[in-house]
Amino acid sequence: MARRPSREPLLNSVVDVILKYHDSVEIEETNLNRTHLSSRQLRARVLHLREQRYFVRGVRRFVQGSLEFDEVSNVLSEAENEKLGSTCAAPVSAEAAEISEPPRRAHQILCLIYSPDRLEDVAGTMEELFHKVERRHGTAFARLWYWCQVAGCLVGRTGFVLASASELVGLKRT
Amino acid sequence: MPRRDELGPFELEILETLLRHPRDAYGVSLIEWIGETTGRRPTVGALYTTLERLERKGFVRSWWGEATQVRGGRRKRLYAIDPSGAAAVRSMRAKRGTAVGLPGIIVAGA
Repeated sequence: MARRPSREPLLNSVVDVILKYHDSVEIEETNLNRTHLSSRQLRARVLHLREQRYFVRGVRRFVQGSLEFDEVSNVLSEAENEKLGSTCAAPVSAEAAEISEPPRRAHQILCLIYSPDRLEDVAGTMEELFHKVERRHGTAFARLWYWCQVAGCLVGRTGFVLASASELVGLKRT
Repeated sequence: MPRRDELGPFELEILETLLRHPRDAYGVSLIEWIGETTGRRPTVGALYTTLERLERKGFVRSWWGEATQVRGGRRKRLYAIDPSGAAAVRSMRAKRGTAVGLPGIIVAGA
């Protein structure tokens, strides 16, 4: 209990980082919380952001400043344990807080399949879903899922191109 | 060979989903909504191939939305059904309703 007052500013600082770096939707939501700033609400918000992985990115940039990563991890695990009602604080390791990226090779294949215009949308959707799958089933499963989706894109795109080509040929004949 | 204005089952499913959700329809939300309705989620490849086909047919229009962090800073493309798409859904439903006795769906405001 004695440590808690010193941790409140720390959490506020983390939220400040999130405010500074993330896009408008999240900024608005976070601002909303800041206007009714209570420690419980703030912790809930931080946990929510962490689940969405925005938080981890915020922490990563924050670490580039003055704060040690372990300090932030301890604050997070304390907040998490309070929410879960646990008395045992398990610190979040740097490895656990790392953001996974989709498989690079698979992404490169995706770049070959789609035109740059389509690629931005497809790759964005794939990445968003990748993180959702990862949260539910873990990184290994998510990576496998990503590869399967890319294979599906390859098959679908090939079929689409062939169908378009045959349609073009058919139109020319008539 | 299928006629250009005819709809496949998945094309129809996407158009109906766009009718039910006229706002904020993009790749991820479409996959989730279709999953909720049909009980199985389409693959990303199948969804985008079909959306592209529907756009070429003029049944769906799209425009760029905002970029988000969760998409790796990429913009999302938002989709909406075109009036011609809504008409195609009505037409397909009417055909099916006549053929197998299913009620046609109501596409109000289309």
